[in-house]
Amino acid sequence: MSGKKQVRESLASKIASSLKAGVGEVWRNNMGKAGLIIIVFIVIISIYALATLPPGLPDKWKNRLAWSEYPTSVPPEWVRYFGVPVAEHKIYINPQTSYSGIVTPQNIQGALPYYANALGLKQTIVGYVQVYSVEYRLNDPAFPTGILTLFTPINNSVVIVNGVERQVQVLPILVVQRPDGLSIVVAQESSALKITDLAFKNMSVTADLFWRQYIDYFAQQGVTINMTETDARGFATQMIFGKPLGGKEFEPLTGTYRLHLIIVYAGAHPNAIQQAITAGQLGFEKIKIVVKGNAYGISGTDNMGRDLWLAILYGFPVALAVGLFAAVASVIIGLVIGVISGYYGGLVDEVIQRFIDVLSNIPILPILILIGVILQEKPGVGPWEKLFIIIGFLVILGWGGTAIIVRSMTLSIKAEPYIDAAKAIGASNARIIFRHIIPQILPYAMASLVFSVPGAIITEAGLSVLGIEHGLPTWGKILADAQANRGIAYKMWWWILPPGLMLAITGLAFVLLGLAIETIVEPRLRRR
Amino acid sequence: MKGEALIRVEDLKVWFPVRRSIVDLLARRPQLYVHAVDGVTFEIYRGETLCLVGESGCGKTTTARAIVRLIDKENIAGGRILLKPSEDVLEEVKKIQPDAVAEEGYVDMYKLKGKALLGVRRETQMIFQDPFASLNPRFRILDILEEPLIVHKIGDKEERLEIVSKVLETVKLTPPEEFLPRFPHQLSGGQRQRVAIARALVLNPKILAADEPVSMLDVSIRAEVLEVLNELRDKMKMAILFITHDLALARYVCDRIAVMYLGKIVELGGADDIIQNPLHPYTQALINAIPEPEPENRKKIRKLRIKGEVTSAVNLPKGCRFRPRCVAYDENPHIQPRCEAEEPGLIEERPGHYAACWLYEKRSP
Repeated sequence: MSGKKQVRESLASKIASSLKAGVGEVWRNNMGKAGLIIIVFIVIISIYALATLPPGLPDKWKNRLAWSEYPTSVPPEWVRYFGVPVAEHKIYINPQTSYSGIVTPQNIQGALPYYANALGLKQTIVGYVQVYSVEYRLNDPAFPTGILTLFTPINNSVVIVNGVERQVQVLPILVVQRPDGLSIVVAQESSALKITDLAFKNMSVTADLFWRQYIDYFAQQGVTINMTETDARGFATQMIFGKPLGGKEFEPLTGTYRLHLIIVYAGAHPNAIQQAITAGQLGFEKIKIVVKGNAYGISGTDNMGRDLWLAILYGFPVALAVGLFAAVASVIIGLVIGVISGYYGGLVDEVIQRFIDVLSNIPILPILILIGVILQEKPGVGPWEKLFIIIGFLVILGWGGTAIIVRSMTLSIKAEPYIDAAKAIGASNARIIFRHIIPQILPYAMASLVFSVPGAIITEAGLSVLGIEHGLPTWGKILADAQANRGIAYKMWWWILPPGLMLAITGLAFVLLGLAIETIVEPRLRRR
Repeated sequence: MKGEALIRVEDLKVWFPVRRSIVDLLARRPQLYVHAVDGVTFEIYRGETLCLVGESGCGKTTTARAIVRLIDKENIAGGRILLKPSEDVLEEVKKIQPDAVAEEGYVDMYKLKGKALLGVRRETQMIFQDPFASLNPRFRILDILEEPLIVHKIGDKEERLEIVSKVLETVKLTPPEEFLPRFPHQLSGGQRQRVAIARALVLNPKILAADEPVSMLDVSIRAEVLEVLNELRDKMKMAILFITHDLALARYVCDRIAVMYLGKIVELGGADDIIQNPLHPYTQALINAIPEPEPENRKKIRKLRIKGEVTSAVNLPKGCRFRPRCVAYDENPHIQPRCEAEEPGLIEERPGHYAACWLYEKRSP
């Protein structure tokens, strides 16, 4: 009796065993193995991307201001392993306070020697001062691309002295102490301002503060720098991190740089300010000093400073979603309609076939461009909605081919005697379609599904490049941006190659898998 | 021999429309039909095997398919097929669809629909010619044999397994456990055909249409399949319509033989009677064509008493449809006008032995 029981398989185990057999068969095929491995990688990266990427990335991607802390148009960091000198990108959050106290003209040399020595300093500062200091090591002969200071002040700008409210004002100054001993003021607000207003200021370096003194200093050492003030503005970071060679030439100066952020407090008695700061009523929640490198991250940045790696990562799940959704939907529609057309025949068949004839003669690109324009003009449609509307049209216009092939397969299967036998038994049409016909077509459907995945992904990317955009940071979107900035993008391989490679690899993986499945479905294609 | 007729085919006509081109449609040419079956009448009694014999394309298979209702209703150009189902099925049909019930406990096969049809299908089954194609290659033997039971909602899992095992034993595929998990491609041709027979038997039908069930099998395994069929007929008292083009086989299997030519029965009678004493010129030619077992006789060049080729079933000749090929027509000038004018019906020349030929017309009524 136990022997008889083993005869019967449950549906789940049937599906599992046929799936296992199918995967095993694909695995035995070298192409299939390669395809499967790549696809598993893509899936893992997609899951990683979904789990780690910030949810607001699509909005952030469109916001130019959100990327000010990043260096613009720089290659990935790993280029250093190919001999390219790289100035590290460094972010210092809440640097250590190296000095806090009252500064007077008398004690400034002792308190803030770098400030006192800063090139040609004609003014001096008085008041309660806090200094935040960081070290930046420049190992390779390369220029960093900027220094940015960002403030998050405590939301209070008032101290109470003897019962009177006093408005505290601050003046931030950034001094760079170079490895050759030279100190220069590289950034400074033009006048003191309310401490809470610093929240809206990103302080960046400007050559205006030091250019003349800098030129004079090196002129004394015998190096003639040939520059106007306007010229100097374009060379600020090279002047800060470089050694002049004469003319407009600079050479990176390696070594350890000290950056001192001096915050001068005014508007109230220094003691009162000191009390308020130690009590935590005044000051900063967060200070961030960013030395922008000349290389960034895994995939570099584009001309807006956007970290391309984020978009590459984001592209994985989107590409999978686009490819699988478009392929699964169009193959399922094609399968169902093809089987109906072939099985029922007659007028139903005729109507469906003529409809497909009409459908497959509609030019897909102009329609999609039209849809894209309408979507862009229409407010209140989210990027994912736009994406799926575009894919929806791809599906609607794309199922015809599958339906035609499935119909002809159905016609030949329908003529098999075992279908007649099932009819003679009294099996319903649904039973014949689902138990006898569809299982025969399914392997073909799987192969055609896998084959149509890369098509959908590449069509989506192509549409992005054509300007039919949904607004999500995808591979197609990166390429579209590069295309829009082709004047500079042609020099930036990290802007063009990675998304192109990702598209190619993803497509290749599915094509390899499809070829493997095809040899299983159609054994005549086997080479051995 | 005569008992209760389980199936009565009355003047059955199955015509298939010829597909018309757009030119035909525009020229308003009339719709042409292939007269696959063109007025066939016979009965099969309980426990009897009737053989339909004839050359390819004469409508044997179409007749069999019509009986198990594999032909679409719109292709039935005339006549009817009456079945005598078992009492309970008849009651069911009476309840669901009284208009499909014909006289004396018969149901009209082509008036049935839906549930009533499903009920009657349980009583009629068919065995197909090609055992390599009539079993779904993706189904295990258990799935194949269980499907009819599932469709007709018979038994639970355990009971179905019991029934299937028993049927496998009936067709001598033992032990059943060994065959149930196999796929058709793991079986030999004879085993497959026995699986196909088992599938037809699972529902315990009254009427079985066997369409050349052994023609695709090796001679060595034909006998066992035929033995199974004969045994079944005797044990279960089925009515079997056995289709073959092999007269020798027909004599071995059948009680009566019906010879078909171009969609019509031209001769009907007891098996031995027809083989030994054929009446119709066509039957005579067929029997004449059986290879001679005696080596001595093989050396004589035999003259086949037939000429020409099978006429098209689309444009049938006027009068007797066998006339263009008939040698007797040439030899008997006195009946020629009859042959040209009118199609002969079945004439009872001897008791129970009919022939559709003007040669046997009773001169005086």
